[in-house]
Amino acid sequence: MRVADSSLARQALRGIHESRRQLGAVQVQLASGRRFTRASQAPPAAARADTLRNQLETLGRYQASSHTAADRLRAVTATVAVLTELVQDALQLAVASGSGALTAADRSCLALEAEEIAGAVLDLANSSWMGRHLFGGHLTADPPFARETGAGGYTFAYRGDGGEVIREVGPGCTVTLNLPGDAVFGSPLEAVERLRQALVDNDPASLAETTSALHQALDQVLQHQAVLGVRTAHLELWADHLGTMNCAYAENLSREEDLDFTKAVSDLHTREIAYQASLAVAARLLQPSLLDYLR
Amino acid sequence: MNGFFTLETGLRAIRAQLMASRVIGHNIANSRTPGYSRQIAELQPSTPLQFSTGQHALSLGTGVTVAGIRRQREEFLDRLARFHLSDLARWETLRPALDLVEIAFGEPAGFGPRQACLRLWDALQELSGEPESGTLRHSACQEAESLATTLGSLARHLDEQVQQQVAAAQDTVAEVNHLAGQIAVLNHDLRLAAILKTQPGDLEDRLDLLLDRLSSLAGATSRREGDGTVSVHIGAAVLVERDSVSPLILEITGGQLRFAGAGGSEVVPPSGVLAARRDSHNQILPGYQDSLDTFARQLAGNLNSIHQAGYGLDGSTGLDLYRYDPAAPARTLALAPEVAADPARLAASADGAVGDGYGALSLARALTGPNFTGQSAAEYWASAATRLGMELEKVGRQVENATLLAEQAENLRAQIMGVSLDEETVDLVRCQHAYAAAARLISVADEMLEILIARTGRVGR
Repeated sequence: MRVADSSLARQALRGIHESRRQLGAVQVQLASGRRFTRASQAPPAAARADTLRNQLETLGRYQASSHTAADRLRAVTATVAVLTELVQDALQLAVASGSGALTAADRSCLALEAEEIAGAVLDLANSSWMGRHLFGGHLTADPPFARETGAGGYTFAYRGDGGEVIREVGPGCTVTLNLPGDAVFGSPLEAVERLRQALVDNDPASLAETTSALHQALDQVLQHQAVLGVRTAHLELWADHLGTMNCAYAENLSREEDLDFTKAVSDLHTREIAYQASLAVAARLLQPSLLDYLR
Repeated sequence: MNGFFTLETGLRAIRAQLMASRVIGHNIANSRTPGYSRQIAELQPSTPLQFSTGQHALSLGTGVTVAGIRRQREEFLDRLARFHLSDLARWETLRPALDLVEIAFGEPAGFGPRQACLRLWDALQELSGEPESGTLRHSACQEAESLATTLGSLARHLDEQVQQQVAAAQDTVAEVNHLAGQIAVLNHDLRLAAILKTQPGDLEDRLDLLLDRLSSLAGATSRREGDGTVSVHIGAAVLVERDSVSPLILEITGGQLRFAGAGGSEVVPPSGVLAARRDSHNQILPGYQDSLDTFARQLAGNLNSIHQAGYGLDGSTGLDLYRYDPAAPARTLALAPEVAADPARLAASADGAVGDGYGALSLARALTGPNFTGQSAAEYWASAATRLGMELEKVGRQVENATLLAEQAENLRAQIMGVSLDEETVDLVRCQHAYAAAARLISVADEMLEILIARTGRVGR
């Protein structure tokens, strides 16, 4: 078989180009720290990595959402906890003022105390968190409860709505971050007001009724508190779960696209040797000719 | 037969070896010339002398002559090489076009439509938790706008590429026509050579080089005619016949790139650069443009219907979130001017109350729902990126295959036509020896003549 000089040269060049290309590929891998920098270098792995990265970024949002959700839930819980204390205070007041030993002056003194409690409950009902009223449903801009002076004392108007403030903390998974303001504060406000009015009126009979009303109100508030407790616990569990998932996805993603440095460095060495070999072979192959041996 | 016969034989040998060494010199001089085929001086015994010695009829050899100078070439291998060269040119042209698309789509790293969708989703999620916040509204509007901008700039990038394919195809067509003109001129010389019965090796080499290039550019095939000329075809259409050229014309009809030949009939290049330009202009790039347009249309459609049902902070309702021109959705997609002017009009609320984030949540859910050809927005783009990656990988493999095959064919060709300096050196040495021996033959014949002339015929002196 004839071997033309051009064939030899072409083959030698091809060998050199190929080794250089492979060297370049490892260099890019080492510089970027990734097995592939473009989808076409490993389409199936790139597709998996894409899905994983998407999951990971989505999870990140859900984690952040569940943290802000937990913050808000804590604010609501704290408010309701204070409400519980206030209703308990009112109840104690009611029980204490039911004593027959008290004079009218004592009662009017206690009425002032009841008024304080009533004011505190109202403030609580209108409390806001990050500039938004917590208990007005979707109508968060204005205070949800207003006290109006009527014939037999104060009445309370609820200006909020029944809207639920929700937050998505997982795919299709939402938590409700508020409680209906009228359901939580309606009966406490009313009961405390009745207590105040009864004390002002110095009316022992209605004081006894007030006590049972306050009991009912306390029960309701405690129920709400229990609901909040369960919700917070669930949310915390969920946030933990999200954290675990995050780790798992990150690990998977790393497996798909991160470079095995040991392997890459050893590849680099092998390919360096291959490159030098191709150069040496080309030099040995191309240099001599018959002319070197003819005189 | 006279006494000078041997001198004559020696002279012939010297002439022939000299001629052979000139051919060798030509080969050595052209050992690096592209497309050059090795030439061989065909030595042949000259016509023998018939004579009779009375009893026997003898045929005496008269030495050597150069019967021809023939280039070493195999037409079958040329055809094989051209087939693979045009295939290689096609894939090699296709690859950079797709490469640019992949870089533009920016997956897996960098900033692409998938990331833009994700960021819009993120901003909407955040807004749903705090729909009263002006800052969050603003950032949600920004992300919505930035998604539209991403799609728009991608679409414009693809448009630009389509235009570049046209410009590049135009250049290639011009080169094809130029080469065809050169072949027509060569055809004239070839016909003359055929009439004169010469073997113009260098002329043929130039022709073959032009044909190699033409098949790379347009997948052209050639046929040798009876009169020594070559006719060139692209597909079924004639490009060159004798010394007439039917120039190739580039046309764009109905957005499709096509080529026309003589009389406006369509020419379909089977492979080569032109086929690659045509395919990327007519099929590949529009495919990705379509996927952008489809996405833009579905994005606007889905989000608008939700947005129209919702309410802004100022109670505005029934507004679009996105606007686009149906003729070019991705290029013209933009935030609706009402919303862009005042982020308070972003319908984050479903029931009209300021604290309701359900509208924003529904918008976010539209992005993760199966609303984009049955996929979520992220899946839509991930699968687009994967499709592109697979196609590019396939093209890369085709380039590798075609490179190997073309190289194989080139090597086969080079086995016949390539110059080997060692071989030429050996030939040269043989030539030199033959020349020296022929010279010796002459001097021997000379001595023999001298004996005859100087030492005989002394009688009577």
